[in-house]
Amino acid sequence: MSRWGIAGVGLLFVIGVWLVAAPFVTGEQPDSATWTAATRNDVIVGAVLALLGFTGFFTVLAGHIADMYAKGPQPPAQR
Amino acid sequence: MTRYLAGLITATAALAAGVWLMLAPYGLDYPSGGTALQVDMWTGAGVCAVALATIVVWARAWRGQLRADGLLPERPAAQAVEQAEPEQPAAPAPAVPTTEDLHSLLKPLVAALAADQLERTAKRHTEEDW
Repeated sequence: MSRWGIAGVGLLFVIGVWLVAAPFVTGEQPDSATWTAATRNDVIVGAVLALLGFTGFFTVLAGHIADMYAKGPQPPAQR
Repeated sequence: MTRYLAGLITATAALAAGVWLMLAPYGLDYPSGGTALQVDMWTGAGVCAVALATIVVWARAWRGQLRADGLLPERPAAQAVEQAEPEQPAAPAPAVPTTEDLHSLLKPLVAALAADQLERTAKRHTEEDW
């Protein structure tokens, strides 16, 4: 269950990165021109989303590992 | 607890961002039919879908953990099933005859046999006397 949750948070980071790159990848924003409102919006929202995903991913991972430490050493898995 | 809360907060904030992405083309007057409009609408829809799924996953995981720790009662559905099917009274155990039962059963039989035996003996004695 937690794996899907971690994957979801990681996916949000990926979507954020895509959103930052989207205006330039799709050619909507020429390199030399002033940024349009759409480009500004996409870059800002994408950056926020990527930051959220990044922070969330590592916070969730840290919580997961903290729980593992709290449980203590587990017996090795039987083959 | 930290990871559940972090997952939920991240996903909820992302949901808000997704909703904004879908509203932005109208709020910021994007050129209609342009690539930016389509990118924002589809990306916003994707963000909303992923965020909603992530919220559901983390909420269920947290609820399950709270149940496992004994901080939440068992599922109401499970309780309803238990209430709907009240405990049937235990079926009576098959009657095993006790020694007293056997005695009371055999006593008249033995008495009848004894009486019959006495009668025959008396009859034999009477015939011998003759």
